[in-house]
Amino acid sequence: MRYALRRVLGVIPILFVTWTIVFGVMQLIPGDPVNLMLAGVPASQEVRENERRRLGLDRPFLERYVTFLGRAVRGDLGESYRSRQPVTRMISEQAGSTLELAAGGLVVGLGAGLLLGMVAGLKPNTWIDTLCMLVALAGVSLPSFWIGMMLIYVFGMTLAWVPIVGSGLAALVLPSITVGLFIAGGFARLVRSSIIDAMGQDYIRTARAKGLGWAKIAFKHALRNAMIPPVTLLGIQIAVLVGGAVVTENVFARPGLGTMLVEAVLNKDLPLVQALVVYTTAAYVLVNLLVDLLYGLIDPRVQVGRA
Amino acid sequence: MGNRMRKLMWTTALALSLTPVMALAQAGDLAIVFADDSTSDVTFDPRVTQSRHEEQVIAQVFDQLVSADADNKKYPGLAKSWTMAPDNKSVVLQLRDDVTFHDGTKFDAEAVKFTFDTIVDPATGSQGAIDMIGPYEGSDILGPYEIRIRYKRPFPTAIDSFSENELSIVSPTAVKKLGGTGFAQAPVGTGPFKFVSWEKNKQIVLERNPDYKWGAPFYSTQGPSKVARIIHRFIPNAATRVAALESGEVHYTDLTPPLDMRRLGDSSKYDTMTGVASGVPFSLMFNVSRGPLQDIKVRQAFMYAVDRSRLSQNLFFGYAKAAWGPIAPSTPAYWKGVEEYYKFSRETAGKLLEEAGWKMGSGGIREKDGQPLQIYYPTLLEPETSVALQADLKRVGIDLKVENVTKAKQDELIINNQYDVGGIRWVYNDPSVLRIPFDSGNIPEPGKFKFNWMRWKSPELDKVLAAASTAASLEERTKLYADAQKMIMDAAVFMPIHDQIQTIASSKKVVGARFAPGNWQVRLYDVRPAN
Amino acid sequence: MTLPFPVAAPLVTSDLTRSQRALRFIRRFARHTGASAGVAILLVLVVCTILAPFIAPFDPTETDVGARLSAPDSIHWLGVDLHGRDIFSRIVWGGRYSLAVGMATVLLALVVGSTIGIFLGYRGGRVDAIGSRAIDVLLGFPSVVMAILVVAVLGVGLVNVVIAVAIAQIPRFARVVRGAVLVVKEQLYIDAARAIGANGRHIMVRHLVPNVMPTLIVLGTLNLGDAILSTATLSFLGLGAQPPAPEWGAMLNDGRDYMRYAPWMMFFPGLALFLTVMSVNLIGDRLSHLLDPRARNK
Repeated sequence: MRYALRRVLGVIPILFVTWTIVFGVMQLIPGDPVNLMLAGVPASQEVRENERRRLGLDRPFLERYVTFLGRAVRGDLGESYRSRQPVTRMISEQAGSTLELAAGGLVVGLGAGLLLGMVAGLKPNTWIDTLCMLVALAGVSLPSFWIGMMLIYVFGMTLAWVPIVGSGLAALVLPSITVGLFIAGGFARLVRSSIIDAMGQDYIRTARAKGLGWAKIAFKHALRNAMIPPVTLLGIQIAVLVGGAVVTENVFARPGLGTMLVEAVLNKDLPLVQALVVYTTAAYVLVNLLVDLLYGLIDPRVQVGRA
Repeated sequence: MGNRMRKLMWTTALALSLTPVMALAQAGDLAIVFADDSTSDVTFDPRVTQSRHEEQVIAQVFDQLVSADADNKKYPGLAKSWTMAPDNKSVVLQLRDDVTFHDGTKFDAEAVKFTFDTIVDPATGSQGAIDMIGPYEGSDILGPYEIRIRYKRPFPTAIDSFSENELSIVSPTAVKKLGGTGFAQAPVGTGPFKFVSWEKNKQIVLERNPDYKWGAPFYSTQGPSKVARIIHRFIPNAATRVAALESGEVHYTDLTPPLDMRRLGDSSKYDTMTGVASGVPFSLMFNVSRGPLQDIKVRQAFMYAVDRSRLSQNLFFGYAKAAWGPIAPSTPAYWKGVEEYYKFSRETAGKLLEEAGWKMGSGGIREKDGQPLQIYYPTLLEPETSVALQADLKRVGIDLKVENVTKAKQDELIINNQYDVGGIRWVYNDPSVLRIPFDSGNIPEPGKFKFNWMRWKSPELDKVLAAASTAASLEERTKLYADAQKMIMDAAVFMPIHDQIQTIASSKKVVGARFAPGNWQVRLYDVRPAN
Repeated sequence: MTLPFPVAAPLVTSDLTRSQRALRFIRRFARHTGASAGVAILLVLVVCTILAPFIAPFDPTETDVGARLSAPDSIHWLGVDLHGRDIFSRIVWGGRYSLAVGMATVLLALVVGSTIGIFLGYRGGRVDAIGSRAIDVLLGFPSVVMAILVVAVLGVGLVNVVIAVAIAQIPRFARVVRGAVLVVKEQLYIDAARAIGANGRHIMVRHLVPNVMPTLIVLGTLNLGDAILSTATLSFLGLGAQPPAPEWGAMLNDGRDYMRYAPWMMFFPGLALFLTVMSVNLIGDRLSHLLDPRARNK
């Protein structure tokens, strides 16, 4: 428990540094935020100056940094330049859509990955193994924007099996496959090698010698012990998921955090970018903490906190 | 997850995905879905907005003092009648006394004064209305339903300005209660539809205003709309919008790709309508301060070299026409004389370049003093048009160097004078927009982004544009703007390419949508089932 | 891809000559059908790329509006795009972008990343602790997003895309190399070298670099696929290659709005991209089997 607490507190300096770096980097992006916000409409000079004052952009760099920091410490991440809404609220409104996509992608990715990896791992060095690994490799080699477009073309337009827009589960199928394929590839390879490792362990040999059923060995013993390295990968996958969301949301015209982040960066919407980065970083660190704690559940030999 | 929970989720999801389809089925309670090409809407406060997409929603929720139809003809709106003072410095309006806002607040002279006063208040942060409202000085309430609007200088187009979406009248009670940001999210007007909910980047739901009986006389509907609900759906991908129309998920698509317009128009199940947007067509501004384009002959050759009619035909399949002047034909005060300028002629282009000393070099690109004829065009809008321009220009020996840039990068290049050509387009329902790119005071400078990307100083043009904006009569104004358009074309600093078009496709199950003035927003009040 | 990588032990184990060893390695590599297929595809691609002017039947940027959007036929084998450009010719020329950009990216990331990794691993102590922490945080940041951020700062264009994707890949190399350095450092012969009196730089060059090399080759190959994909993604989002360049990602973006009328505009460039990345990954996969001591036993 104390270990978890220490890890959570350890997030704070990381967030501060990331936050500061983003503040700095955003200053380097060319362009005037006021102008980007006005999106090229023929607004007069008075409008521009008024906006600049309203956003506090007429103040020197350091003063803005300090004011910003002061607010952030009090938990106020500010208002988006463009929408004038609190960024925290904007993010929470969009998070649902991205979480749906991430969950869908994980279900597809883990499901397919586990299946491919197990089948391959239990029959190593056979043609089944080769085939499974080829499919897995294709998963990580497919350009997700291409496969997304192909799915839309085949299943959305030509066959019309699934709706292209809309918010139901049916509309989540194609985007989930798009995100999931990539995850499945990496996951399958890890599951396979873990399984091969586990099957070679003494206790499995013992179980086999005792005459336990093959399926029972595979599921009860091998899989359980084989799950540690793949679970680690899961922690890393959160970055892949957010990255995948950027492209997938673009291709499927879905709202979400990925779209929001790209637009915010291109519009130089500093408060929004910072808030998004802070949340992503925090999520990453926390998920990895969870993964560490999961180890303990899967494999009691691992004692969390000693590492 | 419990079984019941899972079932609940499935049902909800199913219900959500079927909502629009089911709505279609109940004819008595017509709900229509409008698919809009945007996800970046942020405010529906007419006083603040600068976005033509946001105005699509605003146009349904609000009314204006003066109503204008698509042809720009003016009708009584929230004002029954108006009298312009002879000096064009004030207007007296008689207001309707039978109008209420969606929140029950009575519409009166106070509401008008409140709206106009808050537009010019810097705290509101107005981005569009502030430029529409003219030299507004203040309002005098002459009676509960009578008001005088005063201007600092003559403002002969005051009546036109009253018909703009940006000058819609807002409920003072709601603004005071919700504050600026709150009102932007839940606007309250007097229009035919009430704002119900907004799921960010997904959809907006509007509901019929049952008390509505003050619609303009040009609508066939009188009283509440036949449409019970409008679902305004954001679908930023054109192909997806069309697919949704064809699967019955939506009734209207905006910015429909020309190829789809042609196919859908030919079918018996869909209607199409195309509007030529008012304002500045898609155009190039030539930077006259540097490089080969300093020479008027090169600029003229550039324009002669491009077959604009064919280019528009190729890219827009006949839906958008070539543009010839700095404002579109649908804009007030359009001067037809522009159509005689710089008609496609590869020979003339070649001759002009020869005269300017640019000789054909190896590789098909002209040269002068060992320098290739290279023109740098950082592209933000319409990359496909850049490719077409590139191909035409190469045929006369001009190397158009195209680079796709982000908005931020474009701003930086413009401010630092590191470009030869810049592309723009604006939807704007008045020729006064010309001051923004053509005024000599609007040349970009370090730290100050402005719109005279031609970096062209013409004191004569400044004088004409200033005179036009304070012209005492409409005739004089029209004449001055015609002069301005001629001066611009003579100087060969600005190359109109093609009209901006708004292409709407709709299901034949409904009829009655009509363009608002400016030919961009679609008014849905008059929509009814086709029978 | 960020697979945790086991560190390779030095390959120098037998007393065979260098060329004999190379031959044996190639033979073992080629025993795998997939890997051989990968090499074959990649070879075809490289040849096409080099001989593009002779293979492509049309100029990749020449427009012919009369033919636009027409379907594949005997003249235009893979169809024609919106501006009437031959898609087959554009794909053949486009290979140059994908390969050159991908390799430049990986090379940049590899050099910078391993320099950082070697420095951290060799130095150890507090510098290493802070550096490793930073690498961990950077790894958690989505690489596409990081690349977009960098492009926003540097501006749109292929060169900047190379830098952007390389920056996103640097932490991967740094982490793996650092890990490898730590292991090697522990090994006795380094201590022995130190005892003889060699200075620090000498130890690095003589012992660390060759020992880390197999790992780097594997990681580099595996990241090449990722680099080709990422740069194409940025071009797809409109941030990379500039018109009229026939870059595959940009071609896919062009094809997007005409999916219904000319699906070949998006199908073939995507297929080319997929085959390229797949072949690179097949090779990388086989290499990691051969050079990774843990996998070698299986």
